[in-house]
Amino acid sequence: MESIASVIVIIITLLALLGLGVWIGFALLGTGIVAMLLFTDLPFGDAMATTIYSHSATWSLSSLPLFIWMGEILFRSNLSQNLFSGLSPWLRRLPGGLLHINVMGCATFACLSGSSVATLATVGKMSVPELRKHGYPDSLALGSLAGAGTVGLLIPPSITLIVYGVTVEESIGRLFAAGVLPGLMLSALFSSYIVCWGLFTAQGRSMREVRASLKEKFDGLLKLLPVVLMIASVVGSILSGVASPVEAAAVGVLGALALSLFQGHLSVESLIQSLNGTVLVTSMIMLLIAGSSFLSLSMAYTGLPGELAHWIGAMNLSPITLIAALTLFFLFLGMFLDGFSMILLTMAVLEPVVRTAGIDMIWFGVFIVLVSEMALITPPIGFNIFLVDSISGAGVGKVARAAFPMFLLMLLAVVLLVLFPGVALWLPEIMMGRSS
Amino acid sequence: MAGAEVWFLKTSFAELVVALGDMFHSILHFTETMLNATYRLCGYLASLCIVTILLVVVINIYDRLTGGYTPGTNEIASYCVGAAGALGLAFAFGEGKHLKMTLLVSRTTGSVRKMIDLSCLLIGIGLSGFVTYFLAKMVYVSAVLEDRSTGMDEALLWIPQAPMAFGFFVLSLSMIHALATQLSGSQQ
Repeated sequence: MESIASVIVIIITLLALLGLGVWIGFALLGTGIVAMLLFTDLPFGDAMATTIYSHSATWSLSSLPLFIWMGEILFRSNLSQNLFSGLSPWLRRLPGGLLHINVMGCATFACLSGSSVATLATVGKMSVPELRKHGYPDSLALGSLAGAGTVGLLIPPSITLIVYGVTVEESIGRLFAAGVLPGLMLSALFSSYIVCWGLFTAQGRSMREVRASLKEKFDGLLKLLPVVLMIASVVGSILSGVASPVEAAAVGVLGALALSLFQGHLSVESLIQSLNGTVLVTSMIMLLIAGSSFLSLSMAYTGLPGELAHWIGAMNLSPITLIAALTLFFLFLGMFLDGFSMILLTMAVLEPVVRTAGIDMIWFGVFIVLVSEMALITPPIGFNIFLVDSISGAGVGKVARAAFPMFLLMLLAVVLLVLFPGVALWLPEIMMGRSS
Repeated sequence: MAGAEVWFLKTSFAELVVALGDMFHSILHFTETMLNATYRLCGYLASLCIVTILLVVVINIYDRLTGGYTPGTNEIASYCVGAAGALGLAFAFGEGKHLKMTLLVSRTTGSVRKMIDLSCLLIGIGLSGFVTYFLAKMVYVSAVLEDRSTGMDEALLWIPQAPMAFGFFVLSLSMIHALATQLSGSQQ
C-alpha cells in the first residue's frame, strides 16, 4: 500500500515537472531524485554523478556527433539541388510524377543523415518550390514530404536508434541493419500511395510529366554519383560488417567535407556553423541522456519496473495484445513528447517489461522508432508538421490534414512489422551469421 | 546659508547615486559580456572535442588498414563525446535547444506565464546545481585517489571527468543568468 502511494507521488512529480515546462532532461532527473528519496535512505548523489558520467562518456555514443555533423555539412552543401535534378529524369514518368522525389529524396538523404529534421529540411527546401511551380496540389506535395521525412529516423544512420541502442545496451550495428527494410517498406508504402493518386484520380492522371531523354537520365546519374558513393561507403560498410558505425560515421564526415570542398561550398565559416549545429544537437541529447540514465538507476533501486513486469506478466497478455497496448500508449505520449524524450523516458521503466515478455529488443527498437515517427506528423506537437509549415507557409492545420493519409500508412507499417517481424530481424540475422 | 549647504549635499549625494549606478551598470554589463563569452567559448571547446573524435577514429581506421595499433583511441573518443555534450549545454540552453513540453505552458499568458517560467528556471537551477555539486565531488575524489581508467590509456580519471562537471557548472550559471535577466526585465 505504501508503495502504491509512492508510485502515485512519483507519477505526479513527473507530470507536474513536464507540464510546467521544465526542460525534459531535468524533469526526468527530478523524478529520479523524488523516487530515490521515497524508496531508499541511502545517499545517492555520488551514484548519480557516476551514472551520468559513465552514460555520456561512452564509446558507443561517439558515432552520434559524427553522424549529426555529416548531416549538418550536407545540409549546407547543394546536395538537395543535385538530388532533385538527378532523381527527376528517373522518377517523373511514374504515375504521380515529381511527387516521388519527396519520397525517394528523403529515403536517399536518410542514408546520409541521422535525423528526420535534417532530411526533411534538405529535401523540402528544394522540392516544395519546384512541385508548386509544376502545379502539384499542396495536399499531396506537403503531405508526402511530411510523411517521407520520417524515414530519416529508421533508415541508418539514425540518431534515434543510436540513443535507443545506448539506453538498452544493444548493438548499434544490428539496430541499423534492422532499420533498413522497415524504412524501405515505409517508403514503398508512400510511393504506392502516390502512384494510386496518379492512376485513379482525374487530377493525378492529368499531371503526367514528359519522358526524359537518355542524355538527361545519364546527366542525372552523374549528379547522383557522389551521393550513391557516400551511401555505399557509409551504409554499405556498416551492413557488410566492414566498418563499425563509428568508423562509417568518420568516413561519412570526410566524404561530406570532400563533397562540399569539391562543390566550392566549404569555407571556414560554413565549417564553424556546421560544428555549432552539431554541438547544439549533441548537447540537447546529452541533457536527456543524463536525466534518463539517472531515472533508470533510481527505478532500478525502487524495483518498480520489475514489479510492473511481473504484474503485466501475470495478466498473461499475448505479445500482440501487449504490443497493441504499447502502440496506443506511445501514440498518446507522442501527443506531448518528442521521440527522443519518449524513448528515453519509457525505456527507463519499460525495458524489464519488454524483456520479460520475451520481445526481441532489436525488433522493439524498430517498433518504438516507427511509432514515435508517427507522432512527428500528428498534431499537436508534430515536429515535421511545423517544419513543413515553415518551409511552405501553408499553415499548420493544412499540413496536418495533408499528412493524415501518411499517418494511416504508417499505422499499416506498424501492423506489417508486427505480423512479419522478419522485416526488421532478417538483415541483422544474416549480418550476425556472417561475422560469427 | 544652511539651505545652500543642504542643497550642495543633496547634489553630491544624487551624483554619487548616479555614479554608483553607472558603475554598477557597467559591472553588470561587463559580467554579462563575460558570461556570454564563456558560453560561446565552451561551445567552441565542444566543437574541438567533436573534431578530436573524428581525428581519433580516422587514426583507428588507418591503423586497421595498415595493421598498426595506437592504444587508447577508443577511450579518447569516449571522453570527447562526454566533454562535447557537457560543454555545449549552456550554449544549447541559450539557443533554446533543450527540449521541453510547451503544450500546456503555451496556453498561459501574462503574469501566470511569468510565474511558470520563473519556477521552471528555479527548479532547473536547483537540479543543475545538485548535479554540478556531485559531479565536482566525483572529480575531486578521483583526483585525490588518483583513480585511473581501466582501459588501455590508463588516464587519470579526473581529467575526462572535469569537463563534465564544468559543463554542468556553466549550464547552472547560464540558468542563473537567465533568471536574473528575467527578474530585472519584469521590474522595468
